[in-house]
Amino acid sequence: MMAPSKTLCRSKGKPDHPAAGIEHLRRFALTRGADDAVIISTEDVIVDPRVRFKCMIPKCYMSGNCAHCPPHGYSVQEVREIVSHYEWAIFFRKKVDSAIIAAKNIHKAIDSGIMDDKGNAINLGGHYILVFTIVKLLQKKAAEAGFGRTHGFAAGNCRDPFCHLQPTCQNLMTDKGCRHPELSSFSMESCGMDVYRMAARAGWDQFPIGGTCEPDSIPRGSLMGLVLVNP
Amino acid sequence: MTFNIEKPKAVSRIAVQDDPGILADNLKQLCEKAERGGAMDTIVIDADQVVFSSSIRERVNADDGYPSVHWPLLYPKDDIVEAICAYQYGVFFRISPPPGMPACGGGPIDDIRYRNSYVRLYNLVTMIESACFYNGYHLSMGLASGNCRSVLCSDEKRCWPMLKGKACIHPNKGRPSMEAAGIDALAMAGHAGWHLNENNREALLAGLVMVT
Repeated sequence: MMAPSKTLCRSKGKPDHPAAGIEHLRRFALTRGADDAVIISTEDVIVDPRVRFKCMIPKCYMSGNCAHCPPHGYSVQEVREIVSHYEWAIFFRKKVDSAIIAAKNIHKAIDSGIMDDKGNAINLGGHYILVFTIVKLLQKKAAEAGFGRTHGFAAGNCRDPFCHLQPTCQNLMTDKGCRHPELSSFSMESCGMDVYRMAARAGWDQFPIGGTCEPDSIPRGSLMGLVLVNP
Repeated sequence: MTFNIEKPKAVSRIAVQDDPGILADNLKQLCEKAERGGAMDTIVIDADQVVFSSSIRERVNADDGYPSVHWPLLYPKDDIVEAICAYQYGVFFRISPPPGMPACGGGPIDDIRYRNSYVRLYNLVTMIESACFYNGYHLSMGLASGNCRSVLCSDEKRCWPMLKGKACIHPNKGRPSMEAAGIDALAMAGHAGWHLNENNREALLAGLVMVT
């Protein structure tokens, strides 16, 4: 097993260490709420056609209902093309207590829009918003530091945390565009990135969380984000 | 119609890579689980033993009089053949149909005995898929037979997730069929050496769970 480290993998043709500025970005992610963050070579970004199908088989309630979720969004070929234009990525995670992420009937609360008395759905939404925010802050910080174009990916769908009270995804249903372009982004998984395996390779314990999980089924959950960057 | 959704007994950590020994044990246990769940034949297959047929896919695509989100299976940006070929192993199994049960295609299934047989198959497919998932094979994917709308939503006026903003009312059970994915289950059953009825006119109630 690959040992957890701040910088994971080297590949031929690349310098042994990413530019110091990228390490500053990694640390910045930690100061903004990430529990762990690593720098990985983009060759370690796993893009797998099976991942997008996990959004569609069985069909997630958001699949087809958000412009950033499959079957919309980038195809895996497009994602591979995007990733190939970058050398490094900041990969981070935010831990989520199992009592929140695997709370009984939390999916029903989210789906129905009727919040649970314990506030788990709101709490989970806050974790998702934090991941989206860290992604955008990293991209902004990279731009301020003089890095070129970056590409950010968060976790889950953006409609639940940002447009939960709206009847539809405006970006999908109208030509007005996204209501929250400054915060929303594609998720890693909607783009076919095998987040679970990448987390395992980063040395982070990751457990499959399904609809029948309960808080005592898993130690914790994690939400991950990724920002592609060039020195 | 009720389904038993069980809490997982144990949830395995996602591994950096699959351990071949553990995987072999898990595949064996999945076959045993399928047999305990009512499968009459079960076999572990390599992904390259999945037989694809464009004519089967075209037949399903043309049989669109009772459409569902999983029948026909239309994903313009994604290639399900590429996805299935990305797996290493799958568990292929079948259950016994009632005597004389014909292949039902994608339309409504009026005979309750036939429909209940499909329900048993969907239960088994999702039970095996769920076991894979919680064993740490997080990309496991189950495929059944027929049209999930005919089997699970016969009392509904429509397949709800086909409407924007509506979710599947049986997300834990609804799965696409092998034929909708363009898989020739009959050919695979033949290759597996399973006894098939004369002229293959009886329904083949087969399921395939791609594991890892």
